Amino acid sequence: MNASSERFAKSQEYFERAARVIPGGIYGSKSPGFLVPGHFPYYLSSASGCRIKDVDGNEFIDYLCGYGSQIVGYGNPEVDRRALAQIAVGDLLNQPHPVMVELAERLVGSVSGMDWAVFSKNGSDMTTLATSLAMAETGKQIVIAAEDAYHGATNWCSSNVFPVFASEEQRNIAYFQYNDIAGLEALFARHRGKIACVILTPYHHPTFKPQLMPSPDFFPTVERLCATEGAYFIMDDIRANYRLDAAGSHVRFDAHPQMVTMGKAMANGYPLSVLLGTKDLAVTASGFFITGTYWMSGAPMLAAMATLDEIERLGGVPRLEKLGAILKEGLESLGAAAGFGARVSGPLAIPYLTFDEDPNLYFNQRFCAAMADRGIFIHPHHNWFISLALTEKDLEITLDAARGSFAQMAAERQSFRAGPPR
Amino acid sequence: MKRKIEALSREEKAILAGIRLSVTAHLVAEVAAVDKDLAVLCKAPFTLSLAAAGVPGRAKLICRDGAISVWFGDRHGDELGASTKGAAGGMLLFPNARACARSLAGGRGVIIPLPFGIAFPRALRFFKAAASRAPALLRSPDLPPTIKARLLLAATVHGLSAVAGDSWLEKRMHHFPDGIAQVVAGDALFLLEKKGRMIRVLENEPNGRSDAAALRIPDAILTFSSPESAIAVLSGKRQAVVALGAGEVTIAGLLSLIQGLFSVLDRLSWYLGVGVGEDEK
Repeated sequence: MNASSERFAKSQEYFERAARVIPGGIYGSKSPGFLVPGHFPYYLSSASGCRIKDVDGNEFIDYLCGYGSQIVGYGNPEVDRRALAQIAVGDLLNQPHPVMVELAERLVGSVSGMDWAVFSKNGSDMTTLATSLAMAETGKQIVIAAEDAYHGATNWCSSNVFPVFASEEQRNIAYFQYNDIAGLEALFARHRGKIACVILTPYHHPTFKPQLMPSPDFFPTVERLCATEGAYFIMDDIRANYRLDAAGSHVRFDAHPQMVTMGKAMANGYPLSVLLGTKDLAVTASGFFITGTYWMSGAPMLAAMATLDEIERLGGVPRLEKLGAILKEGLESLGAAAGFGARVSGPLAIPYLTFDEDPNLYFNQRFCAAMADRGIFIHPHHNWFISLALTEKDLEITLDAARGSFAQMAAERQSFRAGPPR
Repeated sequence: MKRKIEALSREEKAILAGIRLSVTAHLVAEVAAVDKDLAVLCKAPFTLSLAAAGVPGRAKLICRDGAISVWFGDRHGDELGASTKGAAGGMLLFPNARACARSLAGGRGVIIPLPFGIAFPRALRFFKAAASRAPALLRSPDLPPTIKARLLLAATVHGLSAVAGDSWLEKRMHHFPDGIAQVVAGDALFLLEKKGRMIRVLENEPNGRSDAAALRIPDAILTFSSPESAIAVLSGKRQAVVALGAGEVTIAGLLSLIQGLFSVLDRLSWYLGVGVGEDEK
């Protein structure tokens, strides 16, 4: 047994057991192969603030935040206090808890341009509902989306590409490259009279690639084309909500969608997502049978209210961006000093590091593994998230680890079997 | 649910037969390189084609300078240059895809021998010996793990290449990036190039063709930590995902390319699991 497997002995033991009873052991984006096996834990047991602890007792400063959900920190006392108090007296009831009304009022009042809200549990629930509403309202079937964008794990938008799923629904998705205005115009021309909606993320966050901010002309063009076609513009803000603008990420880019989906950071890890829409869609939405056994449980909604309060109290987007800027500047300058083209892309609060000289991400994998060895959990293939529980001291520790990791990579560079020959 | 060959579409039967043709031919060539008895049968040159009626792909074994090379593709493709004088052998033609899949899986089936030249008898002698030697060798406990890993890996990569054209995989092949993947197990190293709907095994060794693409830095690398781990995974005794989690397999570089190849591997396994008849072994 080598040092790394000793470090994660219990994780590996659980994984071996899991593989006997769970397909793939751990499925989806949490599978070991998506990280760097041998350098990351497979099972976590606890967390507090911005720190996570695995089943072997290893602790990490975390930059994944439960894939974005933990915006005010793991175990935030105020969020947990309000949610747990409700759980103690009944969470999932026959009828909704009144907090559902309060939360809908609060979101409609704070998310720019929106008039109504419906709740569920996952991003996929809401993106599917949004596109369905657009189709029902317009009587048209084509959905336009950006290539490599993630809108969920249901068949119409997932990477489960099997011919048997090549349903009408899947064939009706037309793809273009994010920010490619000419490509988008061509799609509108090709499908004129058949387009129900365009669904976009506020900025492009494809897996395995640098992140891409929208060009200044992008959303105005989307809006112009949608208006001419009579199609809806859906902003899928599931991943970014509350980290770009408290009023919705679309505000950051002066965009004006008719529907907005939010999730992840909404309730600081308690399961909740929301679809917000404009007045003209309310009648169609009210005619939809929107339901799920757990969709109206009260505790996550109370957590969502508390999360909004806590975000405000802890400094909100400006604070997240201040922390993100320290990380970005630190990583880029330390990388450059070590001779690497390290580049942090995307919003300051949702950064992702890539290396200009290595599009295949060999360097990412080495760097993230070296950071994990030093107690920092950053993901080699997925964007990271900044939490309001993070402190300047944590960043100092992180950048110290980065200095060591870059130095280690520089020393090993000659022995790299793969990656660019330099 | 185990599927029987009768339940396959015409296209699927042809894909299955193509897989068997390619895997058998490449395995035979690999075995000839490590087996002394077979080496004796490779002293004089010969060519031998393996084909099945209704199957677009065919395999050609070319024995030259004591070594066997293999070409696999459709009838109009490049066939590794001109044959050496006196090497013309012939063809083993299966009357249909089912007979091909069945015979090459070790069952009984009709084979039509078509001699084209004087080398046919020695080509046939070699093939019969090698085709029965390959599975026996793989089952032998005395076979060194490095060789066994290489044989299994060769069968796998050429199986991937043969199954890639399956229409079931069309959308999936489009969904993952093009690039070159390097697969390593002990001394064995194979390079696979995925381009559009095709997967090609790049020749990178002295006895093979020189291939410019093979000199490129691979976009992704899959490494088995030992020949034993390769054998366990490639023979289906250990789940790949568990081996990955345990560090017995590592993947690096363009992960989406490796993940895509895994999905092609799943389809290959599906084909290899098809029941080919009562005589199947």
